[in-house]
Amino acid sequence: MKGLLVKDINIMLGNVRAILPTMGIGVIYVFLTDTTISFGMSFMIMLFGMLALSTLAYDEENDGMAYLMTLPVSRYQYVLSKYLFLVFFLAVGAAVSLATFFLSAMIKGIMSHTGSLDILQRVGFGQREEYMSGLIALMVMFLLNMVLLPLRYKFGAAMQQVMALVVVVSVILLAMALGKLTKTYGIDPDQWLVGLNGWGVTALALLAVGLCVAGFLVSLGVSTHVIARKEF
Amino acid sequence: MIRLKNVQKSYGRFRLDCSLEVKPGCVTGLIGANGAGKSTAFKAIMDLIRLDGGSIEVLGKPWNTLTARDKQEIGVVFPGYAFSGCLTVKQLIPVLAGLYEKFDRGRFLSYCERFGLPMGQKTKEFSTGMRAKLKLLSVLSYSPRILILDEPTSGLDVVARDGLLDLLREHMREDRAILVSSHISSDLEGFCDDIYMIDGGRIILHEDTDVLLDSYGILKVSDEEMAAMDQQYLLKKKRTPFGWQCLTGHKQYYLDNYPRMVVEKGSIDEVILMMVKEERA
Repeated sequence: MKGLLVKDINIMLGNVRAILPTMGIGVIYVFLTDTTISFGMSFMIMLFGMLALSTLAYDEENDGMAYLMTLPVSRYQYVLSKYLFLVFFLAVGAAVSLATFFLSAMIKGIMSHTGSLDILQRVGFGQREEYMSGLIALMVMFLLNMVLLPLRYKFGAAMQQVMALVVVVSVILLAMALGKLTKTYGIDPDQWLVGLNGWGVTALALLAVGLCVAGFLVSLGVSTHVIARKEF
Repeated sequence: MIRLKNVQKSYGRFRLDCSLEVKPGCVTGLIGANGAGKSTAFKAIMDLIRLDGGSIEVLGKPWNTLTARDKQEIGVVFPGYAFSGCLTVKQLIPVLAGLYEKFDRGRFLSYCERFGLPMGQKTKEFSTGMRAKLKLLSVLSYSPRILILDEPTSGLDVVARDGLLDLLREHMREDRAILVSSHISSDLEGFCDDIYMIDGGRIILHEDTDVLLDSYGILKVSDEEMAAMDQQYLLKKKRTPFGWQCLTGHKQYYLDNYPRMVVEKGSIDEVILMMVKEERA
């Protein structure tokens, strides 16, 4: 399995140049606006997540998957290596986005003579709500990838975009349906969120981690099942 | 080391139904026209497709029960890329080292140098021949006991083919085996111990290569000769402008008993053409 992880890392190293322009746009946007930490984190994580998923396309080109299934790894290990790589790459994305954001804010502060600390405070560093938003952004991006990966294995590259659209639309429709249901039964979602706010950062972080771990395990199970039954 | 027993797989109107065996110390060839079922048979061996019937064993076990350690002893070459085309040869080294315990970095590098493969170039920029060389050199670098090679010399010029076939000959030992498919019959003639011919998903001929080349022949006879000759050893026959062209597995019988008859040594290509296209004698 180590060889598969090395393969994916080498593929990504070869594609670093491809993401630099997009990262650059994100940095410039952060630099020119007062956008907050949560945007910075979610933007980069989304980018890194898409890149990690793109390794599947490289695996599939020119009948490559058939060859990969003959390697001295089980189909489960192949799928697991892809998930571990995705988690690793998303973590790198989160770290890069935070560092980029921090650096941009520092430079902005120095250049505007208003003081880096002021800038940092304005964009949310030190503010619990902003870190919570950033954490939620990270969790949402992670869970989105957990939904997309088994769809990718099942339907292939051609259908992936369609499936992704179906998922996004389904989530929106589900949210709208939940909103109507809560109104019907007199539940106030805002009050529920306020209640959640009182939990404390640690508790909320643990909840987010728990949801991510559950999503990871369910997604891994589905993907393994799909690949185990697939013909190449 | 590889055994297929009554293996069946259907795709629409095509049906694979075959049995074959690769013995230790042997190089076994599988030859057939496009669409004959060679790649389907290979995919069946490697559990890439689900069978409708029959059984397959590699190293004495079904593929799906092979451990990772067992699979370290199997080397596979497929048409297409092995790994992603955006990796360079240099980047492939840690990948192969991470997958195969017996991967010999020094040997791989010496092979690459010997066959002129550039280390820093992405493999998608390689020519067809360079990719074919890289795939074969990669599997030889970890000395597997079984090689399963689907058109390994496709796209190679005659010099490169000869060099790689020499490497495969060097690789062979008593406890190793190779199953190879090819369209290039001259490669198989000089390399394989025995040959299976497949057509329409079925094995139509299995013979030791020596016997195929020594005992099989093409008879060219007139209508009168055809009417008068003993036809019990004819396998296939074909109408021609001059009379008949017949395939036999007992060339010497006709040479001894019909000295005036035109009897030609049959190449593998000619035997395939007669077996596939012509009517049974």
